[in-house]
Amino acid sequence: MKNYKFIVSVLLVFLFVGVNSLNAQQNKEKEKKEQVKKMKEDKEKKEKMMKDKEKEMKGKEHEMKDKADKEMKENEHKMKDKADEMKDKMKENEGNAYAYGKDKGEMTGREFGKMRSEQAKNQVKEKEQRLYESEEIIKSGREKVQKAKDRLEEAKEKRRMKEGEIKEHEERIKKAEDKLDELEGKVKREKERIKKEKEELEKIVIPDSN
Amino acid sequence: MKKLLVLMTALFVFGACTNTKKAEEEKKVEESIQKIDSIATDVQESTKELDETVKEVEDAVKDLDSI
Repeated sequence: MKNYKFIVSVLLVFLFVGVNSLNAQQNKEKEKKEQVKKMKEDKEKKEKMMKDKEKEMKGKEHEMKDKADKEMKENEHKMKDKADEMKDKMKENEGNAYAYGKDKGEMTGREFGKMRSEQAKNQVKEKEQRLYESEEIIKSGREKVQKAKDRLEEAKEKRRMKEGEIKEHEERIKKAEDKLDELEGKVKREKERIKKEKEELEKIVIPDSN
Repeated sequence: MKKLLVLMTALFVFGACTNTKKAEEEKKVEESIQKIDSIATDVQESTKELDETVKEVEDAVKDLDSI
């Protein structure tokens, strides 16, 4: 009888432990599946972004050939470099994304978290670079607007243009100025925002040890 | 026999506590990942919006070349 009671107690204990571990394992699997899903979604988003960029680049290339403008050619080179950089980054990220998918068992939540944190930091850096480039575009855009204004003034004085033409050109200049103001405002706002995002990212600490 | 049973129960309690602690830590890590993901998504979207505005500006400025 004593033996019987003991065996039943031990079995009960093992049953509890077994159920606990099973639950923990199931939770882990769920988590991992969710993480892999997230990674896939991110990858798709990045690929979409890359495709959009490439389309933009192709469009730009055609326009460049038509105009054969020296300044625009310089911009094209810049954009190509940017696209190559993006491609390289995409390749790096793809590598990481697939690694987790393949070695589900090897990558822990912490490792995955650190990887995501690094990726986010890289994205922030990329955005900072874009903001810097946008500032350059604003600068050169303002110069071009001023030159266009001067040319228009000169044409007005020398009466080389009709009233309708002058009005049309003035509208174009106004449109460009408005767009430049819009971009300037956006760059200002995004600079503040990226500062906060950077701080938030730094605040998030993923512990090293288990 | 009784000693063994007490020992087993103690082991079980210890195991259960460790599991709970692990689960809590994992939850924290998951929350951190979610925060990071949300920031990353924000950064991506705002970068895309910025690119669109830059393109509009470039088009508008390019339009001035013919003046």
